[in-house]
Amino acid sequence: MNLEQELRRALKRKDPPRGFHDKVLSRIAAGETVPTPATIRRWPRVALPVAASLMLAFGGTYYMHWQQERQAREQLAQSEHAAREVVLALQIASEMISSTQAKIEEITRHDATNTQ
Amino acid sequence: MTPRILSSCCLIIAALLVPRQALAQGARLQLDHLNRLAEKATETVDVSADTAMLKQAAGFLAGKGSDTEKMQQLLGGITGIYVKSFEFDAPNMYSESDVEAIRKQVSGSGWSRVVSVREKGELTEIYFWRDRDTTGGLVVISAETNELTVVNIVGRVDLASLGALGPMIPKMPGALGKGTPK
Repeated sequence: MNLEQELRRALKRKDPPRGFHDKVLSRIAAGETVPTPATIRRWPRVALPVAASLMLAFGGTYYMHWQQERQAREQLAQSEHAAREVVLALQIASEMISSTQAKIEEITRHDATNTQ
Repeated sequence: MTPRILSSCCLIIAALLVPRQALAQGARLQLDHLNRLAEKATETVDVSADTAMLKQAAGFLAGKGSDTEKMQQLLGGITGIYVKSFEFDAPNMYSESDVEAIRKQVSGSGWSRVVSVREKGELTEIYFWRDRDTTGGLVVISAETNELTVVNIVGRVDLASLGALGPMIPKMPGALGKGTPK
């Protein structure tokens, strides 16, 4: 019973003090704002640098990894190009030597037939 | 040190360096005069592989099968491969002087002609450059009516191994058909 009475008393509708409405309106018109609590004010000061540092760290790591991969790809492409060029050069040289050998053999055979 | 002594020292150093440079360049031919033929040619192959490029190629070919091993062995003694090949759709697109300019370079000391085959207007010649007792280079000239090819290999070359390489090449990584336009 006692608790009920206390609750009723506490939750009893109370009219605002006289002039409260006008005061609120005049403060709004004056552009007055309610000061933010200190913990909320400090939050962006800590969070922004932390986020920026994290972004920089992740970004930097990703960029370095990407650079290394790009360099490796470029090196592989260069090596492949070099191998292609060298194989082509050796192919031409080998073909020329083989055809010269064939020509010599043909001439030798022809000469041997003529002497017989 | 007076300027006179300084200039004398420079001259002595230059005189000492020049023969070494000339020796290193010994088997390397100057083939730039052929570049203008590329405009007339239907197909051109221009390969200029120096020591660094050969090392890179050997590295790429390493561990890519038994066929590449023989090529790697061959590349081990070579310090440069220079190829110029031009294919024309009509005869007489290059002059005799183009070939003579190359033959003139291989007529000097150190060079010896080992093969010369001339038949039906075609000329094939193989020259070796000897550095003391070992072969230090090779030049193959093939002048046909519609085609001119010059191969200049600098370094230790085994002709038999090079000739035997032919059938293996199509199986090698990066093998191409001859006549890749460049």
